[in-house]
Amino acid sequence: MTEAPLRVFIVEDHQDTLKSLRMYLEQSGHTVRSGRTLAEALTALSEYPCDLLLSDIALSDGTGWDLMSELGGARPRYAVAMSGFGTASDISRSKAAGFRHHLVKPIDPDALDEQLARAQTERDRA
Amino acid sequence: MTQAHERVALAALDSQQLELTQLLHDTLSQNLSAARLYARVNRGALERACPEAVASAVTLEQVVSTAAEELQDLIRWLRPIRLGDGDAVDRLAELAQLASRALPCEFRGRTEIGAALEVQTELVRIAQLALHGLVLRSGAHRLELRLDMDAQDLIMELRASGASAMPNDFVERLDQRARSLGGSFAAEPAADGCSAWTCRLPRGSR
Repeated sequence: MTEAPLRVFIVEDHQDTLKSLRMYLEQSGHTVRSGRTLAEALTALSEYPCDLLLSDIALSDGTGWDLMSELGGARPRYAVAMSGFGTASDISRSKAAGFRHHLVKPIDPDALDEQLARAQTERDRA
Repeated sequence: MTQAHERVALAALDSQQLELTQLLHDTLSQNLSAARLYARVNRGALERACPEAVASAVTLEQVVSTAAEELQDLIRWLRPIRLGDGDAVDRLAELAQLASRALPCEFRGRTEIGAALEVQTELVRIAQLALHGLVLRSGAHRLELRLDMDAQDLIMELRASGASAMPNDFVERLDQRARSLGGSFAAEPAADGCSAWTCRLPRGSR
């Protein structure tokens, strides 16, 4: 069990990726909620103050970049983009949208752990 | 076949390949990515419940991770790159970086080029196909990608140390792409244990 579990919100439309991420995070003691579309995420995030947002970029009704833009000032403190594509322009677009990091799929669990640790540090500092 | 017909045929081929790589990403790659996380979850559970089974869980995770990364690299090599204005140099540098995952590959030359977008896109596509072929089949132990231009042409040179000769159809396919824009892709005489190829593309209207 993690010392200071995070409240994590995942936006992912691929069922097994979502399920495996959820299992991985819950195994470490984090609390997880999720949405499969941009619309679901916008509704859920207005009622769920999370410490970390993990969002896929390619969603059925928009992009993770759109999500960040539409959340505006209601963005979670720490947000990480997930995508199968990781060119310099993808990464800089994620940074410009307000994501702190751009994880390239297949997601390396160690790289994810690093982002969890950073999100915990940010949360504890606040 | 006229140059215009060749351009249409190559565009159709690239479009088909884009669709195929998107499909590979949406299906196999996503599932392998999920399997990688499941394997880590499984390992974590076994560490607590059945330590003697952890070694095989670690091996399984390594195998799945390798397969997922290899597939993702393959998709990056095969997926035709769509360029925005003026980012051909960045894409070439990224391709050199991708090749470096297999063997040392250095990118040298201009940091800015002036050429029509269609010409820059084709140059990057030729570099992508050529580097992938060299990584896969040449047995080279070092690659170098150089970019230059003169008043008429963009000039890209590929050098491979210790490479065996590439099959004629490899060079022919890339030359066909270059010819569709009035350019050329050809092998240069080998020297100092290096094989070299030069691609020239007319810069076109900018």
